[in-house]
Amino acid sequence: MSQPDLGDPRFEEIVRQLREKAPPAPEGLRERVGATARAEGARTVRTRWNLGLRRGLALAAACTVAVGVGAALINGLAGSRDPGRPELGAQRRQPEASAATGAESQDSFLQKFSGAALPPARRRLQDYDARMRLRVKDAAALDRATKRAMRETRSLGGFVASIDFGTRPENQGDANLVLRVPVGRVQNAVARYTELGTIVSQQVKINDLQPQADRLSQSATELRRRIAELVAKSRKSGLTVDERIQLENARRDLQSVTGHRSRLVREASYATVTLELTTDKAAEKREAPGAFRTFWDDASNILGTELIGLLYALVVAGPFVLLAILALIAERSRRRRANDSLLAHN
Amino acid sequence: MPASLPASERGLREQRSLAAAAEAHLDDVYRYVLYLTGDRNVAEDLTSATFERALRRWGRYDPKRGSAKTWLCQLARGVALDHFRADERRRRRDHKYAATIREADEPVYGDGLSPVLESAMADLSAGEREVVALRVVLELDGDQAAGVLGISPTACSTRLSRALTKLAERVEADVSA
Repeated sequence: MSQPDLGDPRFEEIVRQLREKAPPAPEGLRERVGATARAEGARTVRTRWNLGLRRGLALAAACTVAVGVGAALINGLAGSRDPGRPELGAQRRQPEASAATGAESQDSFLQKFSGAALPPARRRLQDYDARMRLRVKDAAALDRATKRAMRETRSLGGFVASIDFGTRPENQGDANLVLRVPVGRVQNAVARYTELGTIVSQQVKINDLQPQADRLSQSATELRRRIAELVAKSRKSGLTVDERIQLENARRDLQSVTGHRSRLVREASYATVTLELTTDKAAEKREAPGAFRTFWDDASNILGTELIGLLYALVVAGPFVLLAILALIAERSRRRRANDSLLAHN
Repeated sequence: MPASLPASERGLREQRSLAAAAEAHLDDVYRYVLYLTGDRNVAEDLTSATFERALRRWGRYDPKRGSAKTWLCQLARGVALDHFRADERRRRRDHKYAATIREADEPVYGDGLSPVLESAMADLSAGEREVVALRVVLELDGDQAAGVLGISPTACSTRLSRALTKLAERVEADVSA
């Protein structure tokens, strides 16, 4: 390195003298220091990592990033091995609430509906409501699918509650069918409907009607008992005017309750399947995500969560860290000025 | 003598043990502390204290981050500053100012140094003398000296220039007189 200050001819003699006449350490000091140093013996410089603050912080940051990315990758790998896990789990937890997913493969759908995923209860009255959206190729296929859906429904002992069929230019069209199928055969029906086109979405809702039916039965029993009492009394000693009115009301209520219960039973004996058929390209079934896509999505989600956590930590701790850094800088500056001042006066 | 060893062998040795580093750089540390304090007795004590501190901290020394010479000089500077601070506290406590009185016959900054230069050196502040010691006597380059002083190389160069100019002016004035 060049030394412009020392190369100045004015300083040449001073520099030469200072270097040549520089005093060596006295022998006594040499012996003392030698003894001190020998106490250290042949100890070698520690080979362990001696990082220092900056390198330590950089290493800690790198390790944190590596752990975060590693966790995301591991989670992604685990998720990609079982892509259907979340949907099935949700169904098992809440079998009677609802199950709705978008664009699943036909096989997985069939497996769900023909399996034990959402079967109607055999000993309880239930309102079973399934909604399916299928895509067909064109208007001709739409017509064929609609007719076949009606045929399949009737063959299973059901009926068509309503139908809304329409075509549009360019060989496009939609059909909306509300089908009633005996509840014992609804799984079979759904399995047959899935063969009509490509599944776009599906939803199943099950409401338990048994408590309501039980209440109606209990009401009917009480009314019958009351009516029997009043009839027995009329045969024995006759009825007052009030009692005759009570008897009339009880008979009317019994008729209403039994009618209501009959409608409920009838309602529960048929499942409602709403079938939407469409030629709309936008409704085309999306491919089930592959293993890499699942892995990537899971890893991205975890990374996103980690980033949010990091940002949150930065927002919370940032001002304190900034204050600490400023205090550190101020302290170093103060100490440097104090040292300069000390050396200037000695 | 250590100074007669080849540089590469010396570097290897000083990486191995403090004893080797002390053997190689004792004179440098002593000269630096002497220039800082301007007192041979104090310089001896502080040099000894520096190597005791080095012994305690030898495990932290990383040869990749700098030479043993600069590391020892940094330790010596810390020891000297501690000494100055303690000295200042003592002066304050005793309410008296103990001026450093140097015996005229005893040279401090070099054996056989011209009295004019010796006197001019004594007139410099400790801060000015230390930069002269590092750059001129110990022959550290600008970056190394700046590292020891904890300032930028530019500031180090400015401080050296100012100190040498002051020395040259004093010497010239004494010679003229």
